[in-house]
Amino acid sequence: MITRIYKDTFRKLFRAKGRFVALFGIIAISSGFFAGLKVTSPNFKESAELYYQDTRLMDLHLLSNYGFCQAEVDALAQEPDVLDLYAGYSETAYLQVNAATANPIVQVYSLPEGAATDTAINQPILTAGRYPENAEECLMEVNTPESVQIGDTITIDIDDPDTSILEQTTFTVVGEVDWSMFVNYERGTTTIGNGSIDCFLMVLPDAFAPDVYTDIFLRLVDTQGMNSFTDTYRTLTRQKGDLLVERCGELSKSRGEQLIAEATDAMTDARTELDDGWAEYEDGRQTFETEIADAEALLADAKQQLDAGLVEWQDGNTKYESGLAEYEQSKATLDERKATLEAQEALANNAIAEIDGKQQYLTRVEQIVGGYRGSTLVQPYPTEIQTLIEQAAAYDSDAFSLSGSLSDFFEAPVDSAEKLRLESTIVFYVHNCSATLTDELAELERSAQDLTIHRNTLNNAYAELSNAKAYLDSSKEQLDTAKAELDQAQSEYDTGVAELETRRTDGLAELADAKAELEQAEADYTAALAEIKTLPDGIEWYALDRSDNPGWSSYGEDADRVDAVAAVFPIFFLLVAGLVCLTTMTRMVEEQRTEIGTLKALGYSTGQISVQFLIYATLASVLGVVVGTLIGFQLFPKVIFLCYKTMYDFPYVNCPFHWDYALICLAAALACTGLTSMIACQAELREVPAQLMRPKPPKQGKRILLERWNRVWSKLSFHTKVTIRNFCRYKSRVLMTMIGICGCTALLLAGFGLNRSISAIDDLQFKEIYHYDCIAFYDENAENPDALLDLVNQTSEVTAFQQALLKSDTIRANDNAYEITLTVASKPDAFSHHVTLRERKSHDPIPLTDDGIVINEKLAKLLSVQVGDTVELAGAYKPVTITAITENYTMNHAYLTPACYTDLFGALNYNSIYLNFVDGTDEDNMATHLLQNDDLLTLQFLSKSGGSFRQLVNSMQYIVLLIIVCSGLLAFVVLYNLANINITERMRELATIKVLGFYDGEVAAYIYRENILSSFLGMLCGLVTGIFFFRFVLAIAEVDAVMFSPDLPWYCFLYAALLTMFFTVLVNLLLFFKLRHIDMAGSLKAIE
Amino acid sequence: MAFVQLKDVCKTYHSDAADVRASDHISFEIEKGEFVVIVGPSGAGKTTLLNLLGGMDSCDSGELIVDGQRIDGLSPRELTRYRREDIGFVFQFYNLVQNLTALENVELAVDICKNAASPIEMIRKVGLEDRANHFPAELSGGEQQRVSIARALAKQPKLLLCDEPTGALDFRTGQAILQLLYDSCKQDGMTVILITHNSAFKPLADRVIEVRDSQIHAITRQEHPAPVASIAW
Repeated sequence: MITRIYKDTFRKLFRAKGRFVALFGIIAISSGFFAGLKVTSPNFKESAELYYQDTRLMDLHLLSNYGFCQAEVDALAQEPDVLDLYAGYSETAYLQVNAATANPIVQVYSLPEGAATDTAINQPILTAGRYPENAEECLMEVNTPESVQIGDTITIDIDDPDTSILEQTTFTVVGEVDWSMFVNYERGTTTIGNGSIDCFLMVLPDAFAPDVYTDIFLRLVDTQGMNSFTDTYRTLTRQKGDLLVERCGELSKSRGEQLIAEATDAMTDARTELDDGWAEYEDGRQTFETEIADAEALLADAKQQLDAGLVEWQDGNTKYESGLAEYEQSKATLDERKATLEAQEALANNAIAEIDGKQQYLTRVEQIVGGYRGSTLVQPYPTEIQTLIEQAAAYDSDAFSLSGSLSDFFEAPVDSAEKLRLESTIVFYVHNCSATLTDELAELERSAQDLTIHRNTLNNAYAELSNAKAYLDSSKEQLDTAKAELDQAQSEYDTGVAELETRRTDGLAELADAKAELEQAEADYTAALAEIKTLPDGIEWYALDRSDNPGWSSYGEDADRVDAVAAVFPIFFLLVAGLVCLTTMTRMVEEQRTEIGTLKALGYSTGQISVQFLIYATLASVLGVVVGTLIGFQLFPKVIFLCYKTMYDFPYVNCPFHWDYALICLAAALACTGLTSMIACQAELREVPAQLMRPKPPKQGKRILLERWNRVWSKLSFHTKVTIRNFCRYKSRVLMTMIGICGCTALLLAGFGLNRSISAIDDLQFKEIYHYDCIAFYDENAENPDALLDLVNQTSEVTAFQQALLKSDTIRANDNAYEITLTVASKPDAFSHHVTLRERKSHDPIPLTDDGIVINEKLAKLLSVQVGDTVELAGAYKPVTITAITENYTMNHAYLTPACYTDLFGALNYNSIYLNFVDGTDEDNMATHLLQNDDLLTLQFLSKSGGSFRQLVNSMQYIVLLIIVCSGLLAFVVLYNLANINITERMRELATIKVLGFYDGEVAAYIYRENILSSFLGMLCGLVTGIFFFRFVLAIAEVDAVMFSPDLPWYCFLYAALLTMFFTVLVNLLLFFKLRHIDMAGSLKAIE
Repeated sequence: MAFVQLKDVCKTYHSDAADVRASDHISFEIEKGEFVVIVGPSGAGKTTLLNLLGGMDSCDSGELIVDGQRIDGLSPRELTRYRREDIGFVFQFYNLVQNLTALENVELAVDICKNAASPIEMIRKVGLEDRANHFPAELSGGEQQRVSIARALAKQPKLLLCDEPTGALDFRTGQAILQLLYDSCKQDGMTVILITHNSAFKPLADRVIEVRDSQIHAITRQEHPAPVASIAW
């Protein structure tokens, strides 16, 4: 009987399919969202743990500065804490790849024992191929360059053959593995190449030829079954690790003995070597002394010879000079004589010539006169005649005037006596003159002969003199030659002397050096001899645990970050969903009022009546939770894992069904639905059946406050009045809608804001704040850091650089302590080339001053300090004042000037260089180029660190996107549900206005005005609430090392508002169909 | 030609269990300004007739003419317009919008109608001037029904359809309401159709249409209807 009545009730209940589906939907979405996000982090960690357990990942990785010998390994294996262990080898080298880029750095590991049978510690998982069977085979991994394929033969270049323990350098790749030692793309660091290992290879231990093992991997007894992401595990492994390291002296005793033996052998060799050295030194010294003495003797001889030669030359020279003087004197006498003789000869010759001239003239006169015997001339005479007459004057004497006679002759008539007389007179005179001249000539010729005799004598004398001169010249030549020879000998001698000096000095210095060296060696030897005894104490072990494995910590942190987001969003989500469920169920009970009354009147007990609502609620809750969690448990971890898949190499993610979360969801769902309906039911049932069966008195209309203000009220349109009145009437529902929409808008805004906050960091941090391309770390104790600076300075691609000190430090204030990177810029004024320090909001640049420290914003928040407060740095003498707080998003930093640093810490040794490159610089080439310098330790390229950060940001964005989508879905369901309630509750009213002739659109508008108003108000509230919610989420989701950008730009508001509006409109559109199908006949019925 | 004319109107409701013929070849005529009582027991098809006349439903066959206009075969939108302009409804349970005052309830109807009377005039006419600004919950049943009538009349419809207007009222109040309806018919010339199961109202009508088993049982024309005060139930 009871069942039949329930059947009827159920039929009624389920007729409202929309409500059930909405209820189910809300529960499914919110529980799926809540549970899915909640289990993501545990799933991640458990999956990792499962992977670790499956592969028997080591708990501790031991390293020693002297390596490990078999005895040590055995000793460790006996330790009660140690479950099992294996010792292996590893070495870093370059992998030869036929590519234009730099050869990747590869770490070669020995394959753990038992890998082939899948029983090894650190079991690698074979993803392709097979395990190596001999020393010439190797395994590659996912990071190995793509050009290398299984079956290829690869060659590796060893960095330093002297210290290499690899025997084999050519391998055939036979398989590919995943190794749980490495969970992300990082492979650790090294000191060769650019400092970061690109990939690893695994080979059989036989490929190594070492004396000692390089690594020990061990598992602890106590940690078995523990999740390695728990604090207990971390503390335990760290403790055990420290314990082993402390007991290293005891455990490595045999290794110490071995080392002493080895050292003693080495010392014996060294002694012999040293003695040999001394003997050699003695020999050398003697040889040197002999050689010097010989050379000195040789030089003395040469000196003597040189001096004798010089004396001889001087004698010759004196003789030559006196001879030359004599010669000069004789020559002068002869020249004088010669001049006189020549004057005399000239005179004689002149006289002879004059006489010859005269005789010729006279002969001519005779001829002319003879010629002109038959002719008479009148003046002027022909030229010759005239000349003759004029010259005749010279021959005129007192007795006879030749010239006059000649003139007369020519003028005298032909054949005249006068003419003849004159002719004969002239001829006669001419003959006379001629005779006289001939006599004079004879006289002259005699004296000329005398002169010739003189000349001959003189010539002989000259010849004699010339001979003497020739002799003198030859002797001069000889002297010069002798002189040149002497000079040559002198210079040779001088060189010899200088050379001797040099050799002496050098030799002495060399000897002194050799002696000093030997003495040093002697001292070293003595020191070493003393040291041998303490050698075992020098053995140091280092214990690394899983957190030192690359990527392990960041995996844990990423999981925690998801957890942080999961901590806030779903709770808010649940709150909204719960509220909606509450309203729905209350309304449903109210609708069933008459039924409840009837049942009560029929005699059913309160429990029996209310249990049907409970069943309904339970059905919706269980279905919703089951569907929600089934999807949520799979969807969220898998989607998020997919995002992280780009970064982490976990082979699988395990998504078990988490009963605890499912039950929490169910409890929450039941509380919101079942419990609510029960309470509502109880409230109804308090009334007597008669009252219940009567329709509930309609809710009274009320004047609202605004109506009192008649001036405004009367001006409002009728519809506005109705809307406002209705709005105020259904306060609870309007409030519910508003809260629901407010919540969804807030979720959306926070989602968009968070998305923006995370994605903005990339640009802000790596474009606006960091400008450097690389930080080069070098050995701070380097002997010659200037060489490195020169290398940097000469590299044309480097546009700016400066030295800096970068070190990890702990900063303390207000009882808080945080790890930071302390940066001391050598040139604070130029630091803005590399890193922008600025105030986040105003973008005002922050100068580095000697007055104090600049710290980043996040750090200031963590430490709760402000500008002007003081902070303490570990290792500093005194506290330092904060001068400014700078914008920064990743990691925590503090900046100091060199002066300030020295003031705080004392000596300042730079250890790094900030480098800016020309755009488009190939970083691999640059790394290779810079690493030429041996002092350079590692290069940190911003593109690399930025890249990994970007991946993180991308994966975070997916999570936020997921949140946005879920918030949107929730917004939709909430709106639909509330609007649906609104319509069903006012069905009669709507039917009435339809009968009154309202068109469909007007009916819709009648109810939409309220919906839209409440949505809009809810949205406005949501936008305000969202700001606080966003800040709250930001504060929770942030990890210590990252600051999300706290700005909430306008477009986030716009997106959130638009999306809310979109859902409002969508819901209203859906409801339109429902409104159209309202049965008008309903208006005629009695009120139910 | 008659003001309202029904010719062979048939209407069948389909449900999973069986088909119910609610109107079986109904034919009658009503003249303008008449006070008509449609009477019949429960389930006789009165309400179907009301729905058809009021444009809330359409018939399967036959003709339905009001003031020369064919109502059958109108589209939903035309039907809405018909309800809006030509029909006034008085419901058994008044169907006032609870959140609006008496005056506002009248305004609600007037707001969508072209040739409406002044709302406050209508309120005055039904004698509720003093209570115009009261909410329905503050009014008695009779007062609420008066508001309902005012709301229907304010549109100045061609037809006033009343569905058991006194059904939820006591005798005296019911009488007053009947008088109001009667007056609006006789004084203002409104065509009033009153649908009831109560045969006591028959003497009031100019024309009585009796419905039984979805068919017209009898149509009586009364030249001298009795005054409202003379009837009792």
